[in-house]
Amino acid sequence: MTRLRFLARGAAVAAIWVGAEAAVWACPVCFQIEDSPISSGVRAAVLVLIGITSGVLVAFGRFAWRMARAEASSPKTQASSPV
Amino acid sequence: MIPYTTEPRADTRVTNVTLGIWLFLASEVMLFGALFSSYALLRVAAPSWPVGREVLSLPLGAANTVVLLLMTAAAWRARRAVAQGAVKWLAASSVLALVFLGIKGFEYWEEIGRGLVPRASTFLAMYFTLTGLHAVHVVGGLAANLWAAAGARKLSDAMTHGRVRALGLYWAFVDVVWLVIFVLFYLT
Repeated sequence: MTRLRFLARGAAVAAIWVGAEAAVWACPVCFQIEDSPISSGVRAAVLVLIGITSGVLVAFGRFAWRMARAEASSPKTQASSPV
Repeated sequence: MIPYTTEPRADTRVTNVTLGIWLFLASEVMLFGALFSSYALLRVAAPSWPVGREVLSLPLGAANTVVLLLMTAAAWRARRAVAQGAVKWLAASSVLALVFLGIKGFEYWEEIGRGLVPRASTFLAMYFTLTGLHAVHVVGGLAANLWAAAGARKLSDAMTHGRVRALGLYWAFVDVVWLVIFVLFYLT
């Protein structure tokens, strides 16, 4: 029963996806006018945020990598402080 | 309760204070990052955007840049000093933070007198939001400076050094944010 309901929901979503007008899926910011100033602005904002977020994630990744390297190079018997 | 330690941990190889300030700065980067992203959106999408140096006072902005750089230099100098020497450098850094806030306050007063208020344009709304938030960070750093200087009389040198080290990193971050603001609003 649960499996049947899951399949029915999936079929309904697929039917909406296929049958809906293209305008329904238009980006709510640019409404398919891709060279509008708002679209350019959103693109610039997204790029800035991706750049900054990537920088922070790379820093976290580097820190994790440094910890892993420190752990690999330290003697196995050495217990680290609980705090 | 987590005991206060001043020794670097074996796994992270940094002290808890250093790790804590870096995590705090990461969250601050995201806060200012969201605002700079908004700036990019509004500036690129705007039909016209004023030239900052024609609207704002470039000499006051440049003076504040110098003051902020000197303030951070004093905070970094405090990292290398011990006990009372660190307190003196923290005091110098605090005085320069007050000078920065004084100049910024005068600049705001002068701009508001000319009708340059946030509702006047998107440029000014972003300017007041970003510089205001930055000024709040300077006030926070000033309070932290005073807290570290007051604590230096009661705490061990190692604990004071940890605090001063964290403050140096914080002020460097505040500097970088200001430099970006200065370029975006005063120079372009």
